[in-house]
Amino acid sequence: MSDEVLIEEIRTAMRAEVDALEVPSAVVTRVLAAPPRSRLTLGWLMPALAVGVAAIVAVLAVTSLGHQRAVPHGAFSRIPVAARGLASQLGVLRRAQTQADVLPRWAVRETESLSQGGRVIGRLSRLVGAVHLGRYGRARVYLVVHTAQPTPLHPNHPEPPFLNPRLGDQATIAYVGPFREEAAINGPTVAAGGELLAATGHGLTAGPRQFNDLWGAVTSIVPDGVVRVKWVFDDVGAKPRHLTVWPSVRDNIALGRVPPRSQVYMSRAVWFGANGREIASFATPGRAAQARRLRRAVAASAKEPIASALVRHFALLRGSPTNDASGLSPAQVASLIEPNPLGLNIDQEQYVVYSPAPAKLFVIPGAQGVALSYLSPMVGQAAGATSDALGGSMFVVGPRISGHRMVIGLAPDGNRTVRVRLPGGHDRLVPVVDNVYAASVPIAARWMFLKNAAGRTVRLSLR
Amino acid sequence: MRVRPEFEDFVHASSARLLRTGYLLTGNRLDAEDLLQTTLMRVARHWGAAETAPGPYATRVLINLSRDRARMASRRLSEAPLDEAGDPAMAEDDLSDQVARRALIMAALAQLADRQREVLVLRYYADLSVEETAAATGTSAGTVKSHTSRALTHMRELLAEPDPMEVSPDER
Repeated sequence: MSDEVLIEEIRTAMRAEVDALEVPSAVVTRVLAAPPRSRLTLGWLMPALAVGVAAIVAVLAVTSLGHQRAVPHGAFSRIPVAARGLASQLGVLRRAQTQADVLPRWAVRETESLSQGGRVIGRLSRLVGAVHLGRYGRARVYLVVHTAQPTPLHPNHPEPPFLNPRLGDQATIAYVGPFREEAAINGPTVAAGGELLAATGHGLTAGPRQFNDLWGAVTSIVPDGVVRVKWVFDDVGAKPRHLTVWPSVRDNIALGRVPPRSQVYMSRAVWFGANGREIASFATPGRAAQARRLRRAVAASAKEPIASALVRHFALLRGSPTNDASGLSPAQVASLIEPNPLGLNIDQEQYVVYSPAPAKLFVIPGAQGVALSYLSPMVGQAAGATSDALGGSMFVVGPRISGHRMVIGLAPDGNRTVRVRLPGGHDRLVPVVDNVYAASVPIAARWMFLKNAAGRTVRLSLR
Repeated sequence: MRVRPEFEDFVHASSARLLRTGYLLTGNRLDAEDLLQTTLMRVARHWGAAETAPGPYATRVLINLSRDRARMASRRLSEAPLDEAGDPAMAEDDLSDQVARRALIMAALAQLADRQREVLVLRYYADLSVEETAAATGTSAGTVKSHTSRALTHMRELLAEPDPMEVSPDER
C-alpha cells in the first residue's frame, strides 16, 4: 500500500469517525459566559478568577455527573423504555444507529435462540469493532440488547456485580462471521466485569469450526466512564502462569487477547476511569482451582472408552469427532463430567447441525451412556444411560412457547424419520439426520414413535 | 457581561473542528468535550494574545492540554494497549466492512505514540501544512516530517498484521 493510499484511508476514517460529533450547546454557553480580554489588569482579576472557578466547578460537575451529562436530550425518546436503564450506562447505545450497526437477520435469530426467549431490539444493535481470528479471517463484533432477561447460560456463575440486572434488558456481544451464518454469542453480559466474557471458550458457538474460541479474542462490556480495563488471568494450561491483559476500550467494549486455545480463567478485572481512578474491581477467587479440577476431569474423561453398543447402533459415533472440548463452555463441560457417572468422553463429542429445524447440538458418548448438549433453538443438557439411547428414549422436551414445544433427541440407526402423533390423530414425520431429530410440536401432541436399536417400533410419551 | 463579537464568532466557527480534533487525539468524546471547553476558556482568557490568529492559538492550546491529560493518565497506569488489527485481504464492499475497517484504523491510531498521533491528526484531519503542524506542536518542520513518516510506517504495520498477543507475565 502506497503512502498516498494509506493517508487517504486514514483521512477518510478520521473524518467519518468524527463527522457526527456536535458541540454540546452547554459548552458554548459556558464558554461565552467567559469574557475575553486584551491584557491582564487588576480589573480583570476577579472576573478571571470567577471564570476559573466556574470552569473548575463545571469540570467537577462533569466528572461527578459522569455519563448523565453525555446523554443528549431527546436521544432517549428513540430508545424503548425498557432499555433506557441500560442505555443510560452504555453511551454507544445513545448514538444514532447506522446501517452498518444492523445485526444480520440470521444473527438476530441465533442470538434470540441462544438467549432463551429474549428478543433482540434491532434498533439498539451497534457494530463496535472487529476481531482477528487467525486463519479464519475476521469477525465483526456487535453489541446487542435483548428486551427480556435471558436465562443465565452459566448458572454456576455469580450474580452480575455491577450493572443492575433488574434493568429489564441485557446486553450481549455477538461475533458475526467470518463464515456465513456462523456466529458466536456470549451469554448474559450484564456481568460485564466478571468472568462471563473473560475466558476463551465461554461463548456459545453456532458454528462447527471452533469459532467460539475466538482465536484468543476476549471481550467485555464496560459502562460509561470506564476508559481503561485490566484483566488478570490464570492460565491452567501446560505452563501455569498469570497473564495480565490491558484491553483496548472503545464504544463500551473492552477488547483484548490471550493466547489462542489457551485455558485461561479470569481471576481479577479492574475498571479505571479518567486519570487512572479505579472505578470498580471484580475478583473471582477459586476459579483457577476450579479450572484445574476441571482440567483433571477432562483428562480423565478423555480416557473413557465408548460403549460398543453405542458405536454399533449410532453411525454418528463411528465418525471422527467433529469438535473438541473447546466447543462447550467450561461450565457446560463441568456439569457433564464433574462427576462423570456415565463415563462420558468429552474428547469424542460430535457436533451436529440439524438443518430441518434448525437445531445445533453436541452429542457426547461415553462408557455407560450418552449426553446431549444443545445450543439452539434452546439451550440445555441432558444425559442418559446406554440403554436409554438404544431404546430410543434419549430425548428432551423444551418449554412451552406459543402453544408448541421443541423436541430434540437421538434415534438409533434404521430410523430415517420419527413419527409424531398430532392431536387430530394423523402423524407428522420428522426427518432424522446424523441420528438426531428435532421438531417443534404442538403442546397437545402426546406420542412419538421410532425404532429402537433392535428395530422394534416403540411408543414414547411426550408428556 | 458582554462577549466580544469576534470571540463569539470564533467559538461558533471553530468549536466543531476543535472538538473533533480533540476526539481524534483522545479517542474519547467526554475527554474531547472537556478539552474543547478548557481550550476555549484559555483562549478567552488570553484573547489579547490570541485574537490575531485564534485558530492556530487554540490548536496549540488543545495540543498542550491533550499532552497534559496523557501525562496525568500515564502516572497512574502503565498501559500496553494492543488493539485488534484487521486483515486487508478480507475487505469486502459492504458498509459494515467499511465501518469495521474504520474501527481498526482508529484503534491503530490510538496505539501510536502521542506525538505521532498528533501529527497525523493535524496534517490529515485538520489539513495543516508541515509548518503549521510544527507551530501547533511546538516542534520543527523536520521533526514533524520524521514523526509523520514513522507514524505511517507504524500504521502500516498495525493494519497489515494482527497484533502479537497482548499478554505479559503478571508481575504480582
